[in-house]
Amino acid sequence: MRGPQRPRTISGEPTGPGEPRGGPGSSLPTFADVYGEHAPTVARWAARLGGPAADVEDITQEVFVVVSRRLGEFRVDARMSTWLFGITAKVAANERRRRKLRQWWLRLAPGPGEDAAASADGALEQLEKRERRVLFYRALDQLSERHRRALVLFELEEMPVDDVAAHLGLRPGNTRVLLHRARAAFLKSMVGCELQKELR
Amino acid sequence: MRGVEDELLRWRAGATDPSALPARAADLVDAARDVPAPPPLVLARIYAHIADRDGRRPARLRGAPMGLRLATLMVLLLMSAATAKGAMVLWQRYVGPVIVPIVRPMFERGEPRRAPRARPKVAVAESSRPRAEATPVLEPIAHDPPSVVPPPATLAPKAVEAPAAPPRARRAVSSERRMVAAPPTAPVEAADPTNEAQLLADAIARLRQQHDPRGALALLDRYSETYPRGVLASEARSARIEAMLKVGDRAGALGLLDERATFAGRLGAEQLLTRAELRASVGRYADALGDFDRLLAASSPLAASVPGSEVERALYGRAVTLGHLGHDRRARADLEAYQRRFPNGRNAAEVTRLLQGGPR
Repeated sequence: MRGPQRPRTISGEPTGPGEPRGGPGSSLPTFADVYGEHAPTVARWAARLGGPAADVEDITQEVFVVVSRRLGEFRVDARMSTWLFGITAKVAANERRRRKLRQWWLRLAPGPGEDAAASADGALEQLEKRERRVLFYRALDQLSERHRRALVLFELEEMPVDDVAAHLGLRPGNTRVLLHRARAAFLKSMVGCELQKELR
Repeated sequence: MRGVEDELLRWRAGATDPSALPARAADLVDAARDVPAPPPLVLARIYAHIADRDGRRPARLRGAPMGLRLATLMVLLLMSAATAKGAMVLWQRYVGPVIVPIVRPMFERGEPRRAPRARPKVAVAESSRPRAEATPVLEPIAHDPPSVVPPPATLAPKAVEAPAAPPRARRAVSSERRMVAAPPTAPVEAADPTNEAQLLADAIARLRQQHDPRGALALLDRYSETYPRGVLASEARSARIEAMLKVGDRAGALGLLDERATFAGRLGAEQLLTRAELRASVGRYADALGDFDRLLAASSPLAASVPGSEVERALYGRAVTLGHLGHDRRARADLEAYQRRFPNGRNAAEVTRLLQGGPR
């Protein structure tokens, strides 16, 4: 398993706005630059990968702690967002594991599958939306980590397949296969979750 | 290449038949895509934290040579491969006697984990209820007590001595805890607590299976004494709060929950709700409102984990709290939301009465 901290060179990728790319004269970005440019994106990834019960602030902080430690090892010809996504995905997965472990221990803390809450303003609409979100993550939780990442990037982040491939460190062809399988697995899992919900 | 990619239409883009699976998935994706952007203040706070740490690793193995790290890893692997009992025997026989005398003084320099003082805020808050009389429509929380926290009319810490605690446990009980810990109903003897998890499991079993909160408190005192910085300290604290509530020590429980406020955002939904109700019950309405708001905030990740019964309590509690603070319109909105969502809820009759008699 390749660690997310180990930077990779992904040549031939399209460059997003402000993305540091290699080449003559390119230099290593400072931590402040990376943070200023990518912190909101990392927070969004954290929320989407972690699900409704994720501690987004905690995950974001943990990601940038790793970044601040490893920035010197980042290769300027690599793509910053790819590197950051790898770190975020691992940190979010660790956080989910820790949360599950704690819930197992306590047998008290409700998981994301519990009934959702409402607010006073537009309570019913909010409730329905949150229930759908909870259902989405309940189905997503049954998928493998690879499928989870692929689906989040493709369906939630709405990245093109090539970008998904770059962020996952795969070839585009393999990514398509992965996405097909992930989507099929998700639909199956979603039907199971809907059935469970009906039966409860 | 593009043609192949076109086969992969996103669910949101390609679903036409609303009853088909992709359309249902698109519906879920729509809901899951909405993620609130982190406020700049939060981002600034994270940046400040990281700048403080300066990118350092946690101090444990920082700077240790690779050989030592590998040796530590091997020891941990071997210990986890053995049975829990065997690892404990090894620890007690060979490692503990060497490590504990070195490590304990380091821990004892820090502040010991104890039950908090019974805060004098109770009396202060009681005397400073802002608009209890000014809002005749919404009465104070005096409804049928909820399962977790019965909101009390008054809060008076019980001054009961704990004579039956064994000498070792008694040493651990601070003066504040002795105020509230009545004698256990059965002699407290943990079944040879061979390790931290076992001791805590015993306490929780005593609390939830044997329904003996006083016995559980005694075991938790023993846990705090034995493992002042244990890895399960947070779980022990949660169990202590639960036990305190069961013995009726609401001031003590509120003290513990207030203390946990320093771990911003770390309280679970149930504990947050408990704290909100306790705060409201002692007249700390503004604090209580903050907790209720966090529980019910639409964008809060915490809110997604709140069960329906707790939503019911939170909505009612927030309505009453808002009434006390004079925010009648918001209180009414909460009451109407309650009525819509929980027409047969435990407070439904009271809510109806309040809505009929309240100002529009």
